Amino acid sequence: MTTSPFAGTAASRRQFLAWSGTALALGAAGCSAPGGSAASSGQKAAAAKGSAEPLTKVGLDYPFTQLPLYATLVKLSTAAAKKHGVSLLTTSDGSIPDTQATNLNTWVARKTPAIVSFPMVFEATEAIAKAALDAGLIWVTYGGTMEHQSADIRFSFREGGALLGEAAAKWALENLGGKGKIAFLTDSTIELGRERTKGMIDAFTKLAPGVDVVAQEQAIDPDTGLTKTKAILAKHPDLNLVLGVTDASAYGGFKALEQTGRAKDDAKTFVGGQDGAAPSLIAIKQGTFYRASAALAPQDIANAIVDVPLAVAAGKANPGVEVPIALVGRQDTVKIDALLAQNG
Amino acid sequence: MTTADSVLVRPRALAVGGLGTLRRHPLILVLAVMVLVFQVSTGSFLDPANLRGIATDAATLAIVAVPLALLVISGYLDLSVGSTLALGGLVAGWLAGQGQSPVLAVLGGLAAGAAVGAVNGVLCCYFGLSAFIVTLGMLTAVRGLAQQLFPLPLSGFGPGFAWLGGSRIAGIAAPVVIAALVLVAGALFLALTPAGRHVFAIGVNREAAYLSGISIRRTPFALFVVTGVAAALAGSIKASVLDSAVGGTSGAGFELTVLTAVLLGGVALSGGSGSVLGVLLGVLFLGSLQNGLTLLDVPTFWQQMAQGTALVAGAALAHFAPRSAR
Amino acid sequence: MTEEGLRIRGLTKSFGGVRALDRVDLTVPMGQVHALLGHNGAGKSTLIKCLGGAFPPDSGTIEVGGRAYERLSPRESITAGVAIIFQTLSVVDALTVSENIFLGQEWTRYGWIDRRAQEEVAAGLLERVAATCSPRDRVGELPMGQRQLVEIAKALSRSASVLVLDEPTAALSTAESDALAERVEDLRTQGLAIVYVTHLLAEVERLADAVTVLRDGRVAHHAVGAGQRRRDLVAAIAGRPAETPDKTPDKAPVGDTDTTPRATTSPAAHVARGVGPSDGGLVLEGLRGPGFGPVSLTVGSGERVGLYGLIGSGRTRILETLYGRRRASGGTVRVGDRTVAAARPGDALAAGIALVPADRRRQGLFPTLSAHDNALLPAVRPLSRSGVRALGAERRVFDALAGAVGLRPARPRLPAGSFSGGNQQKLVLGRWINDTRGIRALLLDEPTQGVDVGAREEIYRVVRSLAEDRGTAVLFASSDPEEIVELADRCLVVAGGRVVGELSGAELTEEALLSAVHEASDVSVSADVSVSADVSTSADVSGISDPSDATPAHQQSVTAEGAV
Repeated sequence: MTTSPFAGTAASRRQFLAWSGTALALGAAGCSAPGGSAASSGQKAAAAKGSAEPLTKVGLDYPFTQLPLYATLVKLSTAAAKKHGVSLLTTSDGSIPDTQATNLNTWVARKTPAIVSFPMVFEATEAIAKAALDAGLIWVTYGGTMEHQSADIRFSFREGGALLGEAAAKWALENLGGKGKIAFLTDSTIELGRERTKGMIDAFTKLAPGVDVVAQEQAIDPDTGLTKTKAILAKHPDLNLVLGVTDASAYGGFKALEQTGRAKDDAKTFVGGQDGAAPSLIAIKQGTFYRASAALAPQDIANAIVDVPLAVAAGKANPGVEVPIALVGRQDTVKIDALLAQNG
Repeated sequence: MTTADSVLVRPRALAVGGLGTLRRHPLILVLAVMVLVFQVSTGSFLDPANLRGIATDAATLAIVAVPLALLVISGYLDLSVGSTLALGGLVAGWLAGQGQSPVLAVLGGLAAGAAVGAVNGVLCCYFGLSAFIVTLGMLTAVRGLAQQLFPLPLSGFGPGFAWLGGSRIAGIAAPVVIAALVLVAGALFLALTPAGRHVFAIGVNREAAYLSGISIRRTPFALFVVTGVAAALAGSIKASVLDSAVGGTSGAGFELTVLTAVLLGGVALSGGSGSVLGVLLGVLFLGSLQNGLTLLDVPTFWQQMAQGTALVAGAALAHFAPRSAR
Repeated sequence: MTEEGLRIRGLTKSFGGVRALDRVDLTVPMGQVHALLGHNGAGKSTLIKCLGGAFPPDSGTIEVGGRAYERLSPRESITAGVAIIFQTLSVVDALTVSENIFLGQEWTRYGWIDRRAQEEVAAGLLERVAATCSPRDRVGELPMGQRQLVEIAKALSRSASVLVLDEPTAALSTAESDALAERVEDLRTQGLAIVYVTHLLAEVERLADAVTVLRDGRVAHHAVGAGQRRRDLVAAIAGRPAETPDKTPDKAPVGDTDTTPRATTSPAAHVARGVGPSDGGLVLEGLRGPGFGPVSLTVGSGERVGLYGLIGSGRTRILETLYGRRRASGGTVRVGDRTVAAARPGDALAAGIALVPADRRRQGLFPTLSAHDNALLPAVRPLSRSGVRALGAERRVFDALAGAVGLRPARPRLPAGSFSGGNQQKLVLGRWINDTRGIRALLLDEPTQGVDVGAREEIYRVVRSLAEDRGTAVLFASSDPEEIVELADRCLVVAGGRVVGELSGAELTEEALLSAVHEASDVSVSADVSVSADVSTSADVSGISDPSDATPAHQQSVTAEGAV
């Protein structure tokens, strides 16, 4: 275990950052091309705001209120906003697209000066975004790019999945001789999940083609992760790897392996997930066979939620941001502690 | 005369064998066929390890399904169990994480469940509000409370707390033992206690039960509380098994799964009929179906279609079978 | 030879080895009324349901309008021209009269319901059955008798040629029953073949052109021609020599001697026994509640007092208030020396007051639960030991009470819903006749509504023996004068929510009751509900007036107060 299974982590992270820089530029370019008029109207609104009065309110519309990340984001971005003298408003969409649309329409009608929204259905939100821009409001798209927007906060979910897949494949080549069995806990219900799933599976199967893919099961929460992994284990007791589309589902898989008698630090077992959720980070830190998480730093996201609207209001060029996703492994204790501190 | 009698005379709650049982619970046949299909097609369905897995998963379902079934028999309904499960698990896990003794931690979780059940019970039984609306509201409200109290996922509850979900009693997983106790207690309650009779009477004809001098509020109220406690117990077990609990997602959608098991088991939503054996079958049906489809490595959306179809098929078979006296 | 509207040949139907119908023949020519009699459980309901298509018969044929069927579906039955008016009507309360009549066969114009055309036709149909309601009235707001006429009008709208009336007068007042009898006579004249199921021999005497009595699924008696002898019919129904002597309407039933020794009680004997508050009886002083009172009355231990009144007179309210189902607004109730303020039935039961409600289906029975559960429900807890049911003791209590009330079949596990009406009533009554609950005052509301002749006798016998052997104070409400005369030692006439007269001993005759209540109705309608006590005492109970005089007043009171 002296040779870290994450030898390539640093490199890939550098690579990622470089790549994402390019993506940022591409994104900016791609954004102005189809939606030129929209972008310009956005810029116009931003310019107007910038000249008239400073931004005092930012509305954060994050629909997945049941996710732990929601509470963390609200807490961290409220603090970040306060530093700039801005107050943060939030919605309670409860993961229901209709509720989200209602809440956004209310904000537009009330002329909330800046709206940061993570649309559950991008296509369905275009009209609201257009209305916001037409009303002279700032619209920041979270988690993707829309035709009508002032700027966006993007994540390369596929890249995050790929980071995890690559690390797992590398580990399999080094510790299993490129053989063994893997199960993927996937999500095909939302765009984000599909991207993560594809990134993870493609990267793994490309690098470690000798490892048997014995299952691909829908699971995003720990309970389902546990149930599905147990069933998979009944058929394949010699399962080596479980990769999860979320840390929550992977954590369920982790517990399933543990409960079928796998030692906590079994050398032939690898579990990895995505998000950087607290229980998973703790398990990684403790040196268990939960070995990696493709983590988002909540603080980075929170900063972007406040900074991007402010940048638009100030009339800055290319105000959008791509939030980096980083793979966290056992040796990244400092990073883990920082992430845990942000979560707590 | 005698044949008709013998079918009707057999004590329902305690009978497990015999043709009459089969006639009243056609789900036994469906279950048997399903198990056979899964075993033949996967070859590993009946492996002890897999069966243990099914039993453990089905255990939490059964623990809530039994009291919920009694509630439905008495003409009420509780849709808030999914959120109560989350709250109970979080409270218990949090207490354990704070270094409280595991027993105290679980009791704390159960108390939270009892409180939710008591609110449901007072509003539905004493104020006479619609159980559907009240518990639907509580489903959302309690979820909000759980997330407000515990916005972040909890984990690391300690080895003492892990006993609840992970230990074995005489080689059987603790949750399965608990579920078995709940099932037996439910069956005995229905068959052998006066209140068990009252549950049926209230469900069949509330007015007539009232006029027979039965306390038509106390028993359902108690069942609401017991259902809340059971949901919290299931939550504590899940928290123990997963060594983590999440306010937003723990037990999400659980209420419908439990209700499905209860209704599949032949408990009428209109009240007044149902049995614990039926509930057990409903629980096993759902558990086996989920497990088997995973073993077969059926793609997600096909799984959803298969699950829905199997549910309707199971319900249809139960419907077209001869009706039982209750 | 008249054309035959309905001809049933060798109809047989079994349920799980129990033969409910055994080669039954029944022929009803057009333009005749055929009375169908028998115990509930004798097969009448099964016969009707085979006719209506609810059950497929095992063998035999049903011939309607010249066409023979081996089995009918409900739709075929309607198309063939069979209309069945069940005891529990199938009208929809929330719809209007004309909407009910055309339910499922709406007249449309351009896809919309042609309301006006429907109402015109409905008005014609209503006229044909002499209903007084308007096509636009909401059925839920009509008195029971009118609802029944609406249902008959609906049958006529489907050009029914065979009309089956299942105990049509069970829920009707006397005046409504008389009106219905006229309608039945009209319909006979219009050429319908009518099967008239009833328990009331008076109706048979008045209406029937022929009679069939079923017993144990077989035809036990068949006779053509009017003027059936009651004694023969009772003997055929009961399957044994008649217990009740032949009674003719003009004969005062005071001297009613019963051949069963234990049931023989002279009302005078009870009065002589001394009735007072101290002997454990039931005493009401100035009891008031919404829609009735103040009511003061005394029922001595072992005494049987009848409350006679029409629908809406408040008799049910008085009983329900006594039992704690309704809240009293004033007055006191005592059982023996104990004052009872019952806020709910549990309180009343604790004080020893029990009620057998009138509406068995809604308030009394648990149809899907077993006979055992039904009869023992209030006894399960008192019998239990340390929270566990005493199954053996329960079984002994059940057997004892099944024997005492003559439950048939005495099968504890059979769902109560599959018993006949009479036996269902025995189960409800049976709840209060075991020793586990010390019942000192038994209240019965319409104790034999929808109960066949044989079971009626048994229920009377049980109630009598409760009073005699255990000293239970019995207070029962009834709208059937025959029942009052049969069962009561003493009768209080109720109208407008108060006691307006008392009859006992030789005065207690059906005629006296009828005239008393009709005069009282006149008074209660002309006076306000809150009339003072002198109005009620001024009601003359001795004069006999023509009942038809009172009809408009009675109808008015029914509509005003509705069913209680």
